[in-house]
Amino acid sequence: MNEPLPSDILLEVRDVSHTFQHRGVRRPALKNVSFDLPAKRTLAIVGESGAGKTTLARIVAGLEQPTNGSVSIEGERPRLTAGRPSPAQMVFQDPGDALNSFLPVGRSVAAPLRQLNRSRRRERTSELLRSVGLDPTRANERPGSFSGGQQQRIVVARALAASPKLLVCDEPTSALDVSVQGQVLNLLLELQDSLGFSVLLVTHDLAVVRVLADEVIVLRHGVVLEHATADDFFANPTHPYSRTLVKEADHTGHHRI
Amino acid sequence: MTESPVLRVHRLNVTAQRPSGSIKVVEDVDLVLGQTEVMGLVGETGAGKTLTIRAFLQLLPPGLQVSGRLDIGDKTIDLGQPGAAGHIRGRDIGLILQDPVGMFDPLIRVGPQLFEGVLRHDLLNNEEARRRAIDLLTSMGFTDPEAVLHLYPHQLSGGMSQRIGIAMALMPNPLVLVADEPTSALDAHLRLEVLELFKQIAREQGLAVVLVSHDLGLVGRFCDSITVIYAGRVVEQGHTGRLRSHPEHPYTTALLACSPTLDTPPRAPVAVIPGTPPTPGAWPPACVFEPRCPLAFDRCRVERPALRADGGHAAACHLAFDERL
Amino acid sequence: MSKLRDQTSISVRSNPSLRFGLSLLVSLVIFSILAWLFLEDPNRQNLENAYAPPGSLPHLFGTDALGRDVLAWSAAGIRSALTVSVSVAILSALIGLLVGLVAGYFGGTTDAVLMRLVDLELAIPPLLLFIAASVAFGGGMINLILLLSVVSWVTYARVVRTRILVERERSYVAAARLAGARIPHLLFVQLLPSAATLVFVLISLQAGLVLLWESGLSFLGLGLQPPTISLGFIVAAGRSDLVEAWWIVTFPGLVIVALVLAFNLIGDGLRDAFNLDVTLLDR
Repeated sequence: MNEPLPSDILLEVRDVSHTFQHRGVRRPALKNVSFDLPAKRTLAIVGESGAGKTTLARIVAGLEQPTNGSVSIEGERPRLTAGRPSPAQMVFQDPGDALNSFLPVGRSVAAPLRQLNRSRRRERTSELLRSVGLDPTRANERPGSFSGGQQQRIVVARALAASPKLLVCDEPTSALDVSVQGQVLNLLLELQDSLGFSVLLVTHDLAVVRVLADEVIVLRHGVVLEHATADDFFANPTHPYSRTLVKEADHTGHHRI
Repeated sequence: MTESPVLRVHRLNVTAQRPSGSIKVVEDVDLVLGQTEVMGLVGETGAGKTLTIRAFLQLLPPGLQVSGRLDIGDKTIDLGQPGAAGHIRGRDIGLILQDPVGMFDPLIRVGPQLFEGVLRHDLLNNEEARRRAIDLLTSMGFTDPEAVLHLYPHQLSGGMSQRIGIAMALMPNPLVLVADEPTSALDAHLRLEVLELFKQIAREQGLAVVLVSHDLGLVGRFCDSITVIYAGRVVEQGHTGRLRSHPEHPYTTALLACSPTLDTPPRAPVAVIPGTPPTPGAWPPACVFEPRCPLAFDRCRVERPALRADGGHAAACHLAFDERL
Repeated sequence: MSKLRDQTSISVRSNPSLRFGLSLLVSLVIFSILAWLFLEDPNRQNLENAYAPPGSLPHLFGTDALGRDVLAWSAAGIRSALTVSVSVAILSALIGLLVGLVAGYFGGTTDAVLMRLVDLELAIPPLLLFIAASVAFGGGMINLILLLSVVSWVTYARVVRTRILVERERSYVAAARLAGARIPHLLFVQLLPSAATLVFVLISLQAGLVLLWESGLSFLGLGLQPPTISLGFIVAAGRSDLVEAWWIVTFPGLVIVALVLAFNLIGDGLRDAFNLDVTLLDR
């Protein structure tokens, strides 16, 4: 694999540390995490829960500011700006939580499209729903009338509405039935191919990593233990912790951490 | 199986009452469980597997009617009679729910909650209950069971809660343990540990286990037999080995193909079952899997396949057990 | 809010509280309308016919010391009672909803300041406030409505704030922020619906309380006064004749009871239908 050119780098994470502070109690979550993510590539962050993966995902997306270090997407710090969708969008673990149960799904999907006029917004919403394999005429229905897998696809559609450069996926398939996970994974593969966004995938599920990732970072207690290409990681993990992870996943013939 | 089964569910049917009429949500489910058998009850969300176990334990929410018979040990229960299962629940059959945290009263320490069931039913006295609790906690892997008894539920991690929940279900020395998605709420690294534990318990304590899950791949590694539920009915049933190597129902084949492994080719589409499972009230009239089945032919649209058996293995498919295939 | 009705599809048929409450309220309203159409002005005095006992037609409920028809008064009193309680409920709900949304979403200093405002309001004994305000601003329906609203909004604010504190952590809110949502959108489109059912339940429960306040104040002479009809007023007027002319106090009193009961039943019914755990502050 060739080293990506500097101009290809979409996401730069430099020395990011984050400590949670609550009523005098400090809990370090991340310690000096650094990595680059080139355009159109998928990087998976793997680790047990408590490793800091979700915190890292939220920081990269701009939902939280790190106590130390910097993050930049195409040279800019990710920041939530009212009136403009962020260049980083998220796909969340629980689709039921990620959609406002009171609003019709069309409205949720159209949320990043406020700068368009009404008819153009409606068109685009239909396009987006179709691109995730859903019937656009169902845009007026509430999330409750969709299955978990369909809800997750709506979440993806909403993320795409913002034409993101980076898609941060936090356990995108963990809450779904195994038989439905494939639909979402295939969708992500297909859309990334056609639209060219980068993906930061946070997960404990190594089989999902195998399907989606180009590169893998192993995170434990907030520290990066290993950063390798996916092929290298699965074929020959260097860090002992990584070796355990892969071996256990392999031994059971089933993904696990 | 030469010994007689410890649990038998006979023609279980669950009907929901809606303003528009009554809808079948579980249809004609039969289950047979041997004395130390670990059975996996597998199906997608909404297929009816949770309803099935709640039905034979008579734990259904109001508005649902059950009919059928349950044989456990030497007792027989008519499931159509409300309250009939009361005396076997928590005694002959132990139940472990999906959410380990929800099983505990947050205001009471772990110890008293463990003792409560057996003391109330007069199965053991205080001293015996305490000893049994400590024994069980030790076999669950706790190194200091005495200390655990004094903890409050909020001090427990997810894995600890689940293991204590299992201990709680085992206190009355049941014949059968039913676990409803016992690992879904857990971090993945605990899942295998907990499932190993179930298998170990079955061996050591000599009881049978029913494991309900949507994950055929995961559960298939720990179960002696598997029952596959789709649209409220059994579509395949049999020993794990045979079911995994020679599934007779196309749904089972598809489910097996869906379970991702590390051998899945990278950056390539994974296997899926196209479409979505039918909702109760909208089940296809003939074969329920037909709309999504790659092998469907004319007869499947007209005639509902019955559950046919061939030497301990059963499948509800017109193409099952066909040597030509 | 048709969206809410779809979402929860309240079944009136299987909800006895709601059914009885609504029936009772509707009956009282119809009673009031019919009386307004067919009976004479409640304020009309007829000294010759004072203290007529109930049953002496056409005064089914009898007359009071000044010959006023108790039936007409009771029915008319329903109108003012409902006007005041519904207006106060809606006004205080709007204020409380706004405060709760802002405090809950922004947290931090904003929340602290607003909650101190709530504490301040709770610290003032309402009766004192009413007396002072009555003296300062006079009586009348508008003043009464405003006053009662000032006292009532806190309940809504606290309940809504608690709900929003939880709701703002949900990932759909994060998604909305990532999509570039502005504050008004977040508060009124995304978060408000989750608090709406709570507010509806509170409104119906509060309405009964407000009605009692109105009756009580009118009873004390601080609330509505003639020519405005108030149930509390005639109860006060009939107080001295409680033993001999029991009907003057009793019938209007029963109407008050019926109205409050109706509101409480509706509130309970809604609370059950929406499966909420809502309790009023003890005022």
